[in-house]
Amino acid sequence: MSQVTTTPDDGQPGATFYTRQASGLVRDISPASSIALNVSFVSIPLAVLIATQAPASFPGASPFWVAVICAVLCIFPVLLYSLFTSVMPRSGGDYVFVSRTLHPWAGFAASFNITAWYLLVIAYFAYLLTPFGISSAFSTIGVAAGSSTFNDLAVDVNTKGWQFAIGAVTLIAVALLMSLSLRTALRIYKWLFAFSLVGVVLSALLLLFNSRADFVQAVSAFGGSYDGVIADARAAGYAGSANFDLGNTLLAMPLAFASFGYAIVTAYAGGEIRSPKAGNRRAMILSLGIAAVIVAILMALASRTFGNDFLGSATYLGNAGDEAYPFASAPFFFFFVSMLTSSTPLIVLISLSFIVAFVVALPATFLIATRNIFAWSFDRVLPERLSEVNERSRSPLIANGVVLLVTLGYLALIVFAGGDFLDLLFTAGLAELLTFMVVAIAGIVFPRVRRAVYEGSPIRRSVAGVPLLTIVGVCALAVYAFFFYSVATTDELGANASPGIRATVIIAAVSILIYPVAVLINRRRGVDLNLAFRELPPE
Amino acid sequence: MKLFRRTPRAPRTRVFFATDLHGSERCFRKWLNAAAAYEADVLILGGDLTGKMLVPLVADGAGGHRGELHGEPVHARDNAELEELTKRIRMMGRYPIVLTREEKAEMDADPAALDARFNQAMEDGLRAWVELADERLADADVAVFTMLGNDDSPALADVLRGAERSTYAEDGIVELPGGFEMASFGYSTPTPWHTPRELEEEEMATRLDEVIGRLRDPKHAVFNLHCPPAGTHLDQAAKLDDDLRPVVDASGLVMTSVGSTAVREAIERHQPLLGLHGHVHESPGSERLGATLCVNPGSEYGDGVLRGAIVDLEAERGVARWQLVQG
Repeated sequence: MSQVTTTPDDGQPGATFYTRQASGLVRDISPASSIALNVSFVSIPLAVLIATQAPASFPGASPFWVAVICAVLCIFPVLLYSLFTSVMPRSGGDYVFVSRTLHPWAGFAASFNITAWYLLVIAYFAYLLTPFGISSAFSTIGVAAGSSTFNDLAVDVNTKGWQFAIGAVTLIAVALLMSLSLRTALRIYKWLFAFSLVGVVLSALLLLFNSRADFVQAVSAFGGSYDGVIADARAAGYAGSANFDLGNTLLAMPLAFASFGYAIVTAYAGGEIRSPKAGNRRAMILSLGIAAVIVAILMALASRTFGNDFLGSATYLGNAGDEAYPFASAPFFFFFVSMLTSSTPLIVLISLSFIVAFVVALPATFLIATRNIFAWSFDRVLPERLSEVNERSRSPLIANGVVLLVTLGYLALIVFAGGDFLDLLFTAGLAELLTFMVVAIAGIVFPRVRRAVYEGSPIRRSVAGVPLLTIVGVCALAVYAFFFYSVATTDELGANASPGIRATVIIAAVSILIYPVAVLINRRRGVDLNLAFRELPPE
Repeated sequence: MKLFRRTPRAPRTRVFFATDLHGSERCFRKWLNAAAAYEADVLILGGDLTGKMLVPLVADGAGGHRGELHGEPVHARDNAELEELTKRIRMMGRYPIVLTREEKAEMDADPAALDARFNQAMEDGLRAWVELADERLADADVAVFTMLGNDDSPALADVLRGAERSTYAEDGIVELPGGFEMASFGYSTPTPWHTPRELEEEEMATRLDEVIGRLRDPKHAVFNLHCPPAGTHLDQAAKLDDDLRPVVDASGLVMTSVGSTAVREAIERHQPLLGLHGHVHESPGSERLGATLCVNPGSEYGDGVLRGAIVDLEAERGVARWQLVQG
């Protein structure tokens, strides 16, 4: 029945502990799986934004160094989540981390805030599909195939009406698929994800085997002039710079954080025998490194082939809607990559894979949002009906419906009332950083507030008398605060424009207000929400 | 003034249910304190009470003992430190076992000796809990019910039956304060670990029919069934490969249903007031199957967090209120 489980390292013979045959004794996720999963959650479409947006908004910024420095800084947030998971492996994420450490009010507010902004990101990706996916694809195919129909389609489809219609159909399709069969949805998602990587690999190869001269020629083929674009941007007010600028490189780092800051997903999965060798922690750091290397290689190749000054100039003109912008499609990494080949099948493949890359970001984020809604509903902060499952489809139709309605509302706002698309992205980043900072504060105080749990955990180490989790929490808070300050004070990112600030304050206020309202409503029904996370005396 | 007048509450029976403590001394002590903290009329412990791990602390020949926790060496230099260390290990739900080097070598070489030690540790641990509960709850106005789960050796039922202050719920139908009947069944469907109390679905259905058949009125009863109903939010566990590692794909951990169809059919057919379940630690939640509220509070015994469900039963309304707590 029982079994010898491990061999000690300290020279003592035999086992260091024995287990019996009992359910739930699973092994840790393998390092390879952990790495693959984390890397998959580093959004490549967002990462490649760096290539086009960094030089445009921050002249002289190096996309390569933006990726590398940001990845190094993100080690601390990744460590924070992995250590928290070592302490509370079954807690399910930041909602519980914060609720148990600080207060359920803080936990809910932090969780609701980030979920509300995740939903905006879902809507944002659905919106991006049209200008940066479909229109870009039509335009490139049109030029490569010499088809004016495709060129016209590239322009026609990029209207507000089509942007909303295509985004809405995509959101509805994802919601329907996840409601009809989650298993099928996730299976499709897996294949779409693999397909999206095809575009990344093809892009890297095209960049590798094409020189700057090839690209200059391609720009001409698409009706523009490489030097002309740079000159027009200068004339339109773009400062531009062909030289490396460290200050602007640091200011541009929030662009990379939008990807690397989320390499924390396996923090939510753990076994009952926690890895004594901290293998999962290493895997999380390693996956951040791998994602950073992939993005950094793409950035280095993009800088070499396109030239940062051209990328900045073209993006500046395109974002400003300047008439001097010579292309039918919006300025974006995969569009410029597609210009490097005249092979229509290859262009279609790259374009499709990039369209798919936007779509694959939706189901996982959709799932995170519905799971959070379930957790709040189980804890009675939100109505019980939100966690109801439809008896026929066995799906959470109500929660899925709420997510769909909210994302459709966001989509309408983005399309019909939105300004520069980066404004919204970085407003979301700014607001999500509020939640991350609360998690970091929880990490700092956890060893003191929940001393017994910390002392019983596998990470009960101290450095100069200060608990490891506290040290990592302080470092992560410093990183988060740096990005928050950077996003909040950098005009080029647009998050400090009044619509962004209004949205941040409104959602934060709603996040803070819901919990006390729920406490009052539940109290009238005889349910005391304050009991949910109150620790019982263990004596 | 009607707006501000509170409606008088109907008499209620407050149940506090926790499960899958797996030897965690910390969680058990919290459970004992839960009746007062939550003003519960009924305490129910839903099975899987015994721990899964023995931690040897081996004499070092100099009056101390050495072992390993979380992959790190631990050293108790004297008896006071040894007591502190064993207490820490028990709080985590593991059984410390103090050995000489010779005894340790014998255990490593002889699986039967290891089994005997394990069984003894589980029995001693459970007996100590029973005694502690008898002492702590002696004067408490609370009905207390316990049950074994699939992970517990059937032989341990006698230890629970020997308790003065609690009732072993699996021996028959028990009556809760307020007149609600409760049927209990601690077996699960087969698991990859081949635990002591597993049944195939068909056998499970037959045994459940027998237990439920003893109820006067299943519609107004509580079903205390360790294994959750299949295909619900209460039975989602990580899918495992042949090496018992969780399967991961691009969408995250692959989850699968590990509950019992027999349990589900029983609940759907009889529609009791309440289903109390455990077994799947990582799947806390609630779900209604028709008129029945099913809850699985989940378990975080390894972290000393007592997950539980507070449920208020009323004669007219059945389940009047409920909430999940993490004490």
